Amino acid sequence: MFNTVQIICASEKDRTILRGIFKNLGADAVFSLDLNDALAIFEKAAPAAVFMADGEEPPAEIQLRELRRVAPFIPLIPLLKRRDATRAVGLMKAGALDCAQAPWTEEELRPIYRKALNLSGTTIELDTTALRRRRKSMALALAVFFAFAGFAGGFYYGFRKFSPRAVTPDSFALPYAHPTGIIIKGSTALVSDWYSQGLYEHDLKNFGIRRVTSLPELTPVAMTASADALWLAGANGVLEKRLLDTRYTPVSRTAAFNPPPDSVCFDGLYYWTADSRTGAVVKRMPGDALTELKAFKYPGRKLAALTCDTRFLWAADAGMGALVKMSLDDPERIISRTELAPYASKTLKVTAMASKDGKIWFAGEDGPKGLAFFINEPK
Amino acid sequence: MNPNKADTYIPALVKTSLDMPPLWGRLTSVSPQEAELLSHFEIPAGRVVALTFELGRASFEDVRARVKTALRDGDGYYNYALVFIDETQRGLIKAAIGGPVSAPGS
Repeated sequence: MFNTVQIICASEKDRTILRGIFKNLGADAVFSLDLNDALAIFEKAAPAAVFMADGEEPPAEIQLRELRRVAPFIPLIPLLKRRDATRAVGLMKAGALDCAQAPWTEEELRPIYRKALNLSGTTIELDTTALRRRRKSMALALAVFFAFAGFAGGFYYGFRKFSPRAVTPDSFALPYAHPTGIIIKGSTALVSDWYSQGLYEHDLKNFGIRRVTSLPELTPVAMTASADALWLAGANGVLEKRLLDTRYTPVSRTAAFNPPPDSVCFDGLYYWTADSRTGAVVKRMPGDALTELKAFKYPGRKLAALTCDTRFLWAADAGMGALVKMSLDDPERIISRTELAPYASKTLKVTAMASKDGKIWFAGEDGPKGLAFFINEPK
Repeated sequence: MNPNKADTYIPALVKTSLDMPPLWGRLTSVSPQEAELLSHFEIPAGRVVALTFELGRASFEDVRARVKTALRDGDGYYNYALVFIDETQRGLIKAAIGGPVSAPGS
């Protein structure tokens, strides 16, 4: 308990008596000679109560008034020098908590001292009803929030876990039945069709057709693209170089290759052509003539289509029903083969391939329907 | 004792006998029939006392009351339950309480 009390008493004799009494009461007594002295150290002393000897100057009423002005709620107790109830009541009306009667003894002062210390300070009794109500509201709001968060989290978890997962389509039906070449460029898939003699630009997301370009003078059987040109192989064995403009303007033509290739690709440095009937794979110099560099024999069983990227040659093997990976340096050696699930359909005939961004794309015919699909590049 | 009202309780002068000097304390509650007195002076239960106090603008002198019970609190103060015994004085107190009452000292 905070037990500092201030005692205003001018008489040395009284101070001696009071010092002994308050010491026995366990109080930390700070003595002041008069009111001015008391006010000077009041803030520093910060007493829990002030006791003042009555009958000194200034009168106790003035001392009460001044002290209440400084500290309105501090208990003030005049120490009467004689038992005068009328004066005591008067001083209590003037602001004293109580008055102690003479003679000042420990027994007389103890209850007053203890009561004063218990009442010391400004006890503020808050109207906590509203506060509690607010706390209840807050707690309720928090509980509702957490319950909702938990429910939403659980619902989301359950929804994610138990709802059927949206499957990204990896196979698309084509509105034409004889695709022969496929190129992936950005968000577009460009597919050539020999029967309709057209180039179809598809949106890669849903394979909706964006644009169709008719090729009346050409029957495309294979297609590839370099950075600045489109290469179309015709049924006659001639490869046409075309600009990548809106009309695919022809630029140059090669001589007719024999056997006429039905697959063509560009590995970033060289061109490759392949003939699925004979299994001939030819590496060609870049240039308008696509001069043959070296011919290879396809090492698999039945070549269906061939493509390449900057690292590998990829082939769809109808005999093995698999995707075959070969080295650009040694195309006659199979690095790996991966079973192609779509070959489960016995009527599937892969006619075109492309490799782009870790995906191997296929286009082909499945009975009367044309289709395109992709798989992730096998490791 | 409510700390917030400690020094607004009604100071009261208490006469216990004609040959003893009066005591003092505070009335912590007043009704026409009874009152509660808080004082550090001891008064035996059953004793009849005379109270002098102010209630609003009304002054009461020597209101006779009997000490019904006396309880000492932890600080050493006595809480007395007093019963007013004079019917006329009860009526006056009732009138003072029922009329416009202003805070003591105002």
